[in-house]
This record gives sequence, structure tokens and C-alpha cells, in this order.
Amino acid sequence: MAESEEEISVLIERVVKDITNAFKKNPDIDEIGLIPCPEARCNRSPIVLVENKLGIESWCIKFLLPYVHNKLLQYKLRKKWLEQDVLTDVTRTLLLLNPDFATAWNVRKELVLSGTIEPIQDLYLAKLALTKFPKSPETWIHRRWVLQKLTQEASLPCLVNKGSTGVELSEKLQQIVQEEMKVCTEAAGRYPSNYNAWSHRIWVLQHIAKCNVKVLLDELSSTENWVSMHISDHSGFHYRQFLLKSLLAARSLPNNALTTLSLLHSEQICSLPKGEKDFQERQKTDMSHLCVKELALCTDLIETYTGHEALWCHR
Amino acid sequence: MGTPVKDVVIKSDAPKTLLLEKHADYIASYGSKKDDYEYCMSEYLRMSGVYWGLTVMDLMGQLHRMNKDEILEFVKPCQHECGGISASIGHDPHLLYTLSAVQILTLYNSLHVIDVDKVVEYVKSLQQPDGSFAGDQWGEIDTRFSFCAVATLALLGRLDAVDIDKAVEFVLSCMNFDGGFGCRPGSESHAGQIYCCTGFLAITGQLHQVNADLLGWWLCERQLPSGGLNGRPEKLPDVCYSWWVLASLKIIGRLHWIDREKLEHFILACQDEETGGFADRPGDMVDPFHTLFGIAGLSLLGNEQIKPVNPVFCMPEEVPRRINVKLELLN
Repeated sequence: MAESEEEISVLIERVVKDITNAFKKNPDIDEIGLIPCPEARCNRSPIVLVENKLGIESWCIKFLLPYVHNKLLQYKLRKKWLEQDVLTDVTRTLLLLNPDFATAWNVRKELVLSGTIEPIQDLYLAKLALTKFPKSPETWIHRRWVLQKLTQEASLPCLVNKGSTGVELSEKLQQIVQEEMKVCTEAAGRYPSNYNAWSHRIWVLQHIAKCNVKVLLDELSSTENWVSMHISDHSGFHYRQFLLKSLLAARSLPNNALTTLSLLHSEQICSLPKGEKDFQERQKTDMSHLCVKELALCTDLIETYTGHEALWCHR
Repeated sequence: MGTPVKDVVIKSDAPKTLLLEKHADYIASYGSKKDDYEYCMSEYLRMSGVYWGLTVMDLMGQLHRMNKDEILEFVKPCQHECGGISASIGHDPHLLYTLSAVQILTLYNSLHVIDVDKVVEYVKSLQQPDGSFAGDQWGEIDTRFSFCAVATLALLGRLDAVDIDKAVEFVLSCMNFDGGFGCRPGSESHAGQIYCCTGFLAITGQLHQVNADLLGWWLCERQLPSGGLNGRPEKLPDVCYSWWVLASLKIIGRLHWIDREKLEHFILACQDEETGGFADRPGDMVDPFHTLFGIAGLSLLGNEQIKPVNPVFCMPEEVPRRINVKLELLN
């Protein structure tokens, strides 16, 4: 069935609109996928929305991708101007099909900077892309850029002194960090030993959570179950090594409170516990306690699942 | 009774001899048969794709079969005002494709096609206060980009343009307890990152900072019973790791720690007898990326039908030699 170029472009524009409308209709779409479907079925849209899953019938991909791809390039080469809302839709469609197309993510960075797109929209788009492409390096890279933008806002409170429980992240930051941990966990589950997901996770702890001790401890306990169920996942175990090392670094400094409270007034730091020596001793035993626990976990896993290299490396 | 190791099994009818002509034919006609969809999907890395194709053809002594003029005409408009080069026309500039472009032009002895000074300016502009390099204006840091930066400058004879000491300091901060390197400080060791960092240290004359025995051990542990190499513990073997791991071993002077015969056997099994080209592992679909690294790996192993390859730049040895790039590897 030969279709004229014009017919194809009308068809594709409708498909792009269908995708845009799907997101408007259901802001909770949480997964994208390709529906194997070799032929179009009598004028029905190839965009299928079932509950929170967005599917694209495979027959239209070979028309859809080149069309939106070229449309974006025409804009980049200044051959055809596109309005901001059109750019938003075109790049979204493109990136759901080919999230390694870095230039498309960069167009969206400009749209974020100009205020057309909210940073949180792109966190959402990246999360969706990762449901189908859990390794995509450019998606993780874009995510990091968005997070930096989000947390750079001067008005965003970072650290809060909670007295006896130590220093915690502000609620807003905690939310952001928790969401990242969730996205990483999902991506790690979708692809074994997902280097990009785990190195992103580490980056978030280093640059967004600033290696906050409470966050590190929470992560240590919450990932214990995961690694026990993914014992070949060398990245997962490396993550725990990173957590332990970071905890060691945070606690071996005499005034570790100073490093984590760097944003607060120096007066407030005076609420350090009395008897520095006791404090330090407690820190040391806490650390060795953690290491002993880790060794025990490792031993248990090795005995349960013989012959897994990753476990021995972790030891 | 232990758990089976993650590995492939090479079938007895897998290719055992090097099918050089088939590979040359595969690369020579690659691209002409691509349909719109596949072409669009991979356009974001086109400059690197061209570099892979040209390099493997040159290694096989078949560079003349590629269209030099067409390629030079493709590269030129990919240089942007900032001096950086993009993967294809209309795409954004990036260090990755800037290196690939410089490698292509070096192969063809045609650096005049671009503004070399602007390239140097671009690379210089991406160095951060801590010595690391961003990949582009958007700021992502990765040791891969440290390698791209110094490799580009080395090929242009302009290493003086950046703060080498600071750059070295950053790369060394990415060294892990196992002797390997990750993408950023604190990241997991990965064969690809290790190749970039050892290559970086070779270019900057700092290989003595590597614990060669420790890293060498980690690298040769990548060899699996099938003979193939993986990139990290408990991952499947992949022909491209025959390059990342092997080249790293060569750079640190521990190439002999690998079982060469078994590796050669694995690489040859990754060939496709019908279409030509190499796949990531036996039986899978071929592509130019794995074809280059299969051939380059065989070259490192000493195959005489292939030109000697430079383990740092992944180009025929004669090329960096021609332009007098000084490199000292470990023994």
C-alpha cells in the first residue's frame, strides 16, 4: 500500500498528537512499551493506553521515528522554526523511541532553562524512558543535569539540624533523593549489573545527599534485601562497599559534625555531644559493628549460593 | 556441585579461521543498505561509526575502498562555532565525536579540513577546576572524557593547552582498591573505564602510578572458560572487551597474563560466515563496532594478516608514529 509523503506526514502528526493527548489524559503513565503489530488496523491509532501503560504499535515506528527525527534536525539546522510546545512534543516522542539521542535531551535542557518545561517533567520523562531502556547513558546524564538544576535553586533548604538524631536533609531534598533511589532500584531490576543505574545512585548520594550519614545508613539497610536476591549483581555489592567507605570517612573525622553541617551557622555546631572521646569510641564500634554485619551477610550468601564471584569480590 | 559460571559455549561449527575478505566487504557496503529507521536510530553516534569503519578497513589494508572525499565533506560541517564537533550535521558537539573526527582526519592526513585551533580551545574550555573534563557544555563528568581530551590534544600535538597535572590528579582519584578505575571517584571498576584511564596515563606519561600487578590480575580475571573476556565479574563475555581489556593489559605490560589461544578462539567464533563482521558473542548479530574491536583484538594478539594496532589510540600503529606522538608503555 503506497502512501504519499503527505499522507504519511498527516498520519505521523496525528500519532504525535495522540501521544501528547495520552499524557494529558493520564498524568500517571508509568511504563512505555512496543506492541508487536506488523500492520495498521483500519484507521485505528497506533497509540494504546491501558491503565497506566502506554504502548506504541510497532508498524508505525519505521515512519514515526525518521519523521520526528528529521523534524527536529530541520529546527536545529535553522531550516524550519518550531514553537516551544511543538518542540516539547517532538522531543518527547523522539526520546521515548530513542533516548540515546543526546541532542534531543539538549533541546529540552534549553526548554527547561527558558521555563517552558518544569524540571520535574523531565525527571518524569527520563523515568519513563528508563522503563524501556534501563541502561540508556544519555537518559541518566540528563537526569543528573536536571537534578543539579533543581537543587541549585537558592531558596531550597538543604540541611536541617535535628539535634539528637543528627543532621538530616530537608524534606524536599529527602523526597528527591528517595525518588532517585526508587528509579535506580527499578532500573537495576530491569537489567543485571546495571552500571549506569548504580553509578547514578552513587552520584546522587555524593552530590545531592552530600553523603549524609542518616541517608547512608538507610541505604545500607534498604539494599540488604535487594543484594540478597541479586547475588550476581557486582554493581549492587560495590554500592554497599561505597556506603561503608563513605560512612567510615564521615565518622573518622574528629568533628564529623562540621563537615555535614557546613551550611549551618557555627554557633549551632556547639551542640556536639560532650565527652568527645566517648563519642569517637562509639563511632568506631558502630563502624566495626557494621563491617561485622556485612561480613556475616556475605558469609551467609556465599554459603547459600555457592560459586558466585561477586560475593567473593565483595568480601 | 558448584553453580555454573556465566559464560557462553562455543559450538563446534563456529568459525575457526579469520575471514578477512568477508569483513572488508561487510564494512565497505555498510550504510548503503541501511533503511531510514536504523539510520536515524544510530545517527547520534555517526562520527564514531565512521571512525570504527575506517579504522578497521585500514587495519585490514582496505582503506582505499572507502570514499575519502565524501567522508571529509561529512566531517567539515560538523564542527560548530565553539570548536567542538558533533556526531552528525545538526547534532550537538561533544568531546566523544570531537575525538572521533580528529582520528578520522588523522587517518586521512587531512586535519586542515577543520579549524584545529578552535578544537584545542573547545577541549581546553571543558576542563574543570578539579582537573576533570566535562563531555560538553552541559557539564557531565566522566573519566572517558579525560581520555578523549588528552587523546585529541595528543593527536594535534597540543597537550600543553590544558593543566595536565590537575587532569592526572583527577584520574588517579578514580582509582579503586582493586587497582581499577571507574567513571567518577567512588564508581565501580569497569574495563571500558580502565582502558580510558590507562590510555590517559600512557599519554600523560604517568603509568608508573598504576599498580600494574594488581590491575593486571583484575584484568586477566576477566577471561572466562570459553576464552572470551568480560568487563566486570559475573558478566557475559563480549568481543569488545577483547579490546578494552587486552589493550589495557598491553599498556601496563601484562598482555602475557591472558591465555591468547583461547581468546583468539573466542574472537574468531564471533565472526558471521555469511554476512562478514563480528558480533558481541558467537551467533549474535554483527555490527561495525564489534567488527573493529574483534580485528583490533586479533592484531594485539599478533595476527600477521592485520596491521599492528596502537593500544592507546586504537589506530594502525603507523599513524601515531607518522605524526610523532610519544608514548611509553609499561614492560
